[in-house]
Amino acid sequence: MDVIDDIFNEVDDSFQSQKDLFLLLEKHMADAKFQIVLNDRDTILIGDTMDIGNDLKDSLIRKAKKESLPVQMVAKDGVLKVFALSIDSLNATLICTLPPHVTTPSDEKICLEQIKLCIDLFETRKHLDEEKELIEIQKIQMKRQLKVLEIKNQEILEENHRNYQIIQKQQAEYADKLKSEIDAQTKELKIVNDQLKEISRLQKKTLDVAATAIITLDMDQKIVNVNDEFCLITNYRKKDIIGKHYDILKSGEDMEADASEIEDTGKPVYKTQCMLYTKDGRKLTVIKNADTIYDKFKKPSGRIESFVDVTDLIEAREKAETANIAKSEFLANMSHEIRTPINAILGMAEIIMETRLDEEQIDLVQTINTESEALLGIINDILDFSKIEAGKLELELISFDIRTLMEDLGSGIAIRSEQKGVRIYVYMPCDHPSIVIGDPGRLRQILMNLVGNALKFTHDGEIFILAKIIEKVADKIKVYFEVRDTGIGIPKKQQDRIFESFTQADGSTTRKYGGTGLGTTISKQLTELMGGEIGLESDEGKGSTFWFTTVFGSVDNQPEKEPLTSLNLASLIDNRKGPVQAMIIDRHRTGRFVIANYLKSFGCDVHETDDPEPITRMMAASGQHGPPFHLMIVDSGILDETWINTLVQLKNSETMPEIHVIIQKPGGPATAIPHDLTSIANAYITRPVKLKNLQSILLSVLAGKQAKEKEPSDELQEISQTEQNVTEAKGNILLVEDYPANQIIALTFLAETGCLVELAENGQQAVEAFKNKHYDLIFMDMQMPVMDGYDATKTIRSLEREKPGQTAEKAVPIIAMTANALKGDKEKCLEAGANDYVPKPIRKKQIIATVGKWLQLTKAKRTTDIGLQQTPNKEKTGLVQKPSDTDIPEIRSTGETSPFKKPSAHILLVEDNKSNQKVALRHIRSMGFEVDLAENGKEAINAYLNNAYDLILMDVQMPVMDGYQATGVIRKLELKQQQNNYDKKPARTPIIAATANAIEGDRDKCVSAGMDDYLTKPLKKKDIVEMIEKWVMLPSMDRETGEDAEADGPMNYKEALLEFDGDETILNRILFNFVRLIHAQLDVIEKAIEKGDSETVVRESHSIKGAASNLIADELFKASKELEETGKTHMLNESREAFLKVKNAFHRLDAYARSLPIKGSGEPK
Amino acid sequence: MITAQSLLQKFTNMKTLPHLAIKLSKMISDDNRTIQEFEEVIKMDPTMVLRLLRLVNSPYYALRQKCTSISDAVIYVGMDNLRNIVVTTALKDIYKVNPNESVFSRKRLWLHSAAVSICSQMISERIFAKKGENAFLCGILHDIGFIVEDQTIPDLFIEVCKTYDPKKNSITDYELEIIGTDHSAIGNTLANDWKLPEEVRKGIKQHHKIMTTVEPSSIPGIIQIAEFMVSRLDYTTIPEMHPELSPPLKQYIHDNIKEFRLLARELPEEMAKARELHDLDAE
Repeated sequence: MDVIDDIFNEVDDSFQSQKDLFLLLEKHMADAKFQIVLNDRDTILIGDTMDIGNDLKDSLIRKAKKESLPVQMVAKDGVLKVFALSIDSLNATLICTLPPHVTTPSDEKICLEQIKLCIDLFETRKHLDEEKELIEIQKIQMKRQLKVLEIKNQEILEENHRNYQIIQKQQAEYADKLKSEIDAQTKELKIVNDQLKEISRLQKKTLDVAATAIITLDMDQKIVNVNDEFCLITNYRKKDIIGKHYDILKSGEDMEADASEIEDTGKPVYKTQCMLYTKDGRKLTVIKNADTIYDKFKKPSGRIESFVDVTDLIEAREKAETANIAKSEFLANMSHEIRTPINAILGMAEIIMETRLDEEQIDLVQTINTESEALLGIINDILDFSKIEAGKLELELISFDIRTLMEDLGSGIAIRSEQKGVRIYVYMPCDHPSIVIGDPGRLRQILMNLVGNALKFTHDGEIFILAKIIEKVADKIKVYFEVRDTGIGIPKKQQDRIFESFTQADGSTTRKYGGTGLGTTISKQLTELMGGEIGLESDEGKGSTFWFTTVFGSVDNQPEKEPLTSLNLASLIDNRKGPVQAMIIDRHRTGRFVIANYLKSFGCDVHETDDPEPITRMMAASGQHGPPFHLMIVDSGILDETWINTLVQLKNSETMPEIHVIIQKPGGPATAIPHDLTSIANAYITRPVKLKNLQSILLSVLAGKQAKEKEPSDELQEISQTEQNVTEAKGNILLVEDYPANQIIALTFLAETGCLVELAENGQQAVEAFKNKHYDLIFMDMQMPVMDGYDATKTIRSLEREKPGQTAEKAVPIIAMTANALKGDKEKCLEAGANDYVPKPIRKKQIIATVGKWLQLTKAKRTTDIGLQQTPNKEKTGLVQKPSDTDIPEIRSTGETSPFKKPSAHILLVEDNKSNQKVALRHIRSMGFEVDLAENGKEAINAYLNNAYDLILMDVQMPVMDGYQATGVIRKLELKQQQNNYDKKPARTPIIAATANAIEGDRDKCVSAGMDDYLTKPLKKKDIVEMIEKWVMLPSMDRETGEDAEADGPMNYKEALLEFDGDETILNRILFNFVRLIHAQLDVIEKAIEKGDSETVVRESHSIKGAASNLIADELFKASKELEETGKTHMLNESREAFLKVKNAFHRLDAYARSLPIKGSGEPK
Repeated sequence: MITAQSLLQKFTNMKTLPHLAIKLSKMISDDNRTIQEFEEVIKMDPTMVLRLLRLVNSPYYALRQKCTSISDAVIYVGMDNLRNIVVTTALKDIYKVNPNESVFSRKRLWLHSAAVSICSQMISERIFAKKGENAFLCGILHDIGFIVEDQTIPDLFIEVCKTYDPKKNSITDYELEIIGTDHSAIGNTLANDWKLPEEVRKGIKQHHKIMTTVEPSSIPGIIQIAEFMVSRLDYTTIPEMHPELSPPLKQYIHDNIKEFRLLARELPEEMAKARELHDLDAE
C-alpha cells in the first residue's frame, strides 16, 4: 500500500484482502495451518489454531520482516516446525505449519514454494481487481465530471441567452430612444430649414433690393450670382452673365485698371475705387468692397464683391471742386476789388480830416470813415468765414498773456461802452497762470465778436468778461471764457441757431442792429479750431451769457501767482498786524466781485456795499476809534455831492488820517472827474480794472506815507507812487539829447509816464523850444554838439529871470543827464542851474521816479494850467502822446514846422491803385521822407536797380508782376550785389508787404517771398509811420531766431530786457537803431582818426559807450571806453588799435542783432 | 471589544483588498448585470484581464480559436469562474505580504487554501457530480480570517499562534480566548459583506465545527473533507494542525473509500494543473 492509501487507514477497517488470502491458502493446502498477523497490530487477524507460544510467534514475525524468504522455527516440543513469511502488500505476516505428511526437507521446500506461489497468485489477483475497481471508479467520476461540465455548459448557454435577452432589450430601448431623437431632430431641422429658407428668401430679396451691386464668384473667377442692382448698372441680364468669367467686366485693353483682386491673399478690399465695363461698353467708376468666401473647411471657395457706382458722384465732385476753386478765387478777387476802393476811401477820409474842415464837414467825413470801416469789417468777416470753411486758417502758436489780452480788449471797448452807459468788467482769478501758447489774434477775434455783439445788444448794465483755467493736463491748458451781458437776450427757440451761418436772433434784428451775423459763426469755428466748444445761455430780456472753451499749450516755469498776491499789504500800513480792511463801494455787483476777489487774493479782508449811505454813517460814528477801513475803493458812478462832501470831511478829519481812497473812473478822454475828488482821492484807477494796475496802485497808496520817510533809493515804492501820480498829473517834458539811440531810450521811458515829450537835439534847439512853449520838466544831456547842456541850462535860467512875474518856484525843473559820473559833475550841473541829475546810462526806474518827483512838486500849483495847455498843444506841435497802455513811443513831426531833425530816408512805394497811391504818398511825404512810386512789380525792380531805398512798401496784388514775385527778384539781386558791391546799398532792403486780410495764408506767403513785415490795408497813417520808424532806422533783418543770449556774448539780452521791462519790441527797436547809427559813427571815427581829430573820436566813442552800456553790450562798452580814453590823451596810434576792437565788437553785436527774431510783425497793427 | 465585524471594518478601512475586486464580487451577485458591464470593469485591471484570458485559453476549455475579447472570455468561463478569478487575483497579493513569517506564514496559508480549494472542487465535481466553483471559492476563503487577524491585530494573532498546541484544542478555542472571535467567524462576516452565496458563507463558518449532521455533498461537508485530506498531505496552515472530521463525513469516506483513494491519488496532478490555471503559486 502506498502513502496515499494510508491516509484513510484510520477510516478503513475491512481487512478483506487478508481474509481473501487465508481462504485461498486454505483451499490449496487444506492440511496446513495458517495465521495472518497484521504487522502494526501484532494480533492474529485470521487463522487456524496453532499451538505455539506468543514468544515464538513474535520472534518469527520479527525474523520474517527482516527476510524476504520464509523463516522457520521449531516449537518447544521440538517436533513442530513453524514457518513465517512477510507479506508486504498486506502489511502482515503469514505464519504457517506444514501438513503432517510433509516430513522431508524437499517436501517442505515444495510446500513452502506452493505457499509462496499462492501468495503471489493472491497478490496478482488482488492488484488486478484493485486496478479494475479504480478504473471503474475513475469511469464513474469522469462521468460525474462530464455531468458537471454539461451543467456548466448549460449554465453558460443560459447565461448567454440571458445576456442576449438583456442586450436585445437594451438594443430595443436604444433603438426607441434613437428613433425619438431622430424624430425630434428632424422636426428641429425642418424648423431650421424653414428659417433658412426664409433667410435665404430675405437675403435674396435684400441682395436684389440693395442699392449696391453685388456679385459672387467661384475660385475660377466664374460669376456665380449677381443681384438686380448689378444688372441695372451693367445692363447685363442675370442669365447672360451667370457662369461667365469675371473678365467680362474688364475691357480687353484696359485690364490693369480693373479690380481683379479675386485671387489675392484673402485680404478684404474696402472702399477701393476701380473701373467696371458695362454690357454696352460704358466705363463705370465704382467703389468696391470685396472679401473672400470660405467653405466649411476654411478654404477659400470664392469671392463676394459689392460695388457702388460713383461715376456720377465723381463727376459731380469734380464739378464741385472746380466750382469751389472758382469760389475761392472769386472771394480772393472780391477781397481785392472791394477792399481797394474802400481802402482808398478810408485813406482819403483820413487825409481830409487833416485839412481845414468845418464841423459839418468833419461830421460827414467821420460818417464816411465809420461806414467804410463797417463795410470793411463785414467783408473781413465774410472772408474769415470762407477761409475757415475752406480749412485754410492756420493757428499761430506763440506765447501770450490771456489776462493782458482780455484787459486790453476790455479797456479798448470800455471807451465806447461807457459812453453808452455799459460797464465792462474783466476778471481772471489771480492764481490762474495766464501765460499760454496759442493764437492771441484769433482769441481776441472771438472775444471781440462776442463782446462786440454783447455791446450791440446791451443798452445799459454791464458786460462781464471772465476767464478761468478749468483743466490742466500735461502741457495743455483748457481755458473757459465767458462774456455775460445784461442785454436784450435771445429767445429760446433761436438760441440753437445763433451759431449757424448768417443768423442773428431773427431777421428783424439783423436790420435793427446791423451786422452779418457771421461773428458768432466765426467764433464757433475758431473755438472748434482751438479744440474747444462754444455755447450760450440766455434769458430773454435779462441778458445772455456766451461761453467758450479753448485749449492752449502751457508755458513752463510760469509763476503760479502774481507777485503781489503773496505780498503782505498789511505790512505797509503802520503797525498793522491783521489783514488790511478794505471796503468796496459800487452799485455794480460784478464790479464789486472783481475787485473783491483781487483784494482777497492779496490777503485783504473785504467788505462791500452798493449803498454808500450806511458807510457814511458808520465812518462818521467810528470817530476817534480809528477808521473801520484802511482802504476804500469807490466807483465814480456812485459819487454824488453828499458823498463827496462826506468823504472830503472824512479825509480832512484829523482823527482819521489813515483811510486810503481809490476812485474807479472810466477811461478815455471824455471823463470829467469832479474837482473835489482830487483832495479825497489817493489814487485813481481806470475801469475796467486791470490786475497789474490795481497791484501797483495799492502798493503805492498803502506804502505812500512810508515811502516819503524812506530813502529815495527805495525805487520800487517811489516808482509806484509816481506812476500813480503821473497818471493824473501829466505834463510836458522836453528831452534834450543829441544821440539818436539815447533819444529813443529816453523817449521810450518818458512815454511810460504818460507825459507829452518833445525832443531837442542840442542845446540851441532846447533854448528855442523853451522860448516857444511851457515845459513842466526838461531832461538835458550835458555833452552835445552846437550848444552843450551846461550852456543851454544857463541860457534857460537867464531867460526865465527875464520873464515877468517869474518866481523861483515857477522855474522849470531841469534834470541833467551825464555819463561823467564823477563827483564834481553833479555840482557842475547844479551850478549851471539844473535841479537834479541822473547818471547815464539812464535807467527806466530812475527816469520815471525823477519825473514823478518833479512833476508832483509842481502839480498842486499848476494842475489846471497844464490841463488847459495840453489839448491845444497836441495838435499844434504834432507830438502825439500815446495812451499809457500802449508802450510804443512815437516821435513825429509835421515837417516844416518841426524844429527837430528828421530821419532821412528814401522809400519806394509799389502800389497799383491810384487812390491808394495818393493816400500812401501823402502819408509818407507828410513825414518828410523822400518817396518814389512804382505801379507794379516790374517797375519796382527797375526802381530798385536805379536807386538805393531804405524801405520798400510793396502791395501784394498787382498787375504785370505781383508783390511776391517782385520781392523774390529783389532778394536775388541783393545776393548778387552783396558779392560785388557791399557798401553802396544796404545788404538787404526792408520790404514791407501791404496786404488786405485776404484768404490765403498771407503772412506765411509774405515771409516765404522774402518780405520782412507786413501792413494790413487800409493803410493808416499811424501804421505807416510806425513801420517806417521801425524799419528805416534799422538795418535789414532776415535772420532767424537765436534767442539764447549768453551773458558773455556781444550783449546780455536778458539783462537788457529787464532794463526795458521785458518789452522786446522796444529793446529790439533800440538795438537795431543803435546798430545802424554806430555803423555810420564808425566811419566818422575812422576819418577823425585819420585826420587826427581826437575831439570827434572822444565824442563819438563816448556816445557809443553810453548806448552800449544801456544795452548791456559789455564788449563794445569796454572797447569804446578804451577808444574814448585814447582820444582824450591824443594818442592816435593807440586809437587805431582801440578802434579795431570797437569795430570787431560792433560787428559781433551787429551779427547778433540780425540773428534776433522779427518781433511784433505777426500782429497787424 | 473585538468582534469579527470590528476587525473586518478595520481591515476594510486599511484598503487591503483592491477596490476593483470588491466591486466585481458585488456585481457578480447582481443578476441584472450584463457581460458588457463586466467587461467595462475588468478591463480596468490588466492583471485581471491577463488571468482571465490565460484561463479561457488554457487546454481546459480547449477552444478552437484563441479568445481575445474579455466579454467572450467571461462567457466562456462563466460567472462563477469569473468571480473565483477575481477573488483569487485580489487575495493573492495579500498573501504575499508576510509580516510575521517566523510564527505565521501567509505563504503557507496560501498554499493550504489553494490546496483546499482545488480539492474541494474535485470532491464536488467527481464525487458529487456538482459544480465545484462555489467549493473552490469557499476553499480559497475559508481561512481568510487569519489574514484579517494578522493584518489588524498582529500582536494578538501572534500570541494565538505561539500558544496554539495542536494536540490539545482546536485553533478556534485559542482565538476565542485570546482575541474574542475566530477566523471562521471573521470569514463568515466577510462572505456576508461580499454577498457571497449562502453555502460558501456556511462552508467558511463551519469548517472547524464538528457537526453531528452534515451532508457530505454540501459545501461545509466538502470543505471539511478537503481540509482533512489536504492536511494529511501536509498542506497545513500551522504545522501539525490536523482538523477533525465530523462523524457523518467520516462515515461517508469509510463507505466510499475507494473513490477517495482515487481522488487523493489524482489530487497532486490536479493541483499542478490548477496552479497553472489559477496562478495559485505562492511566488
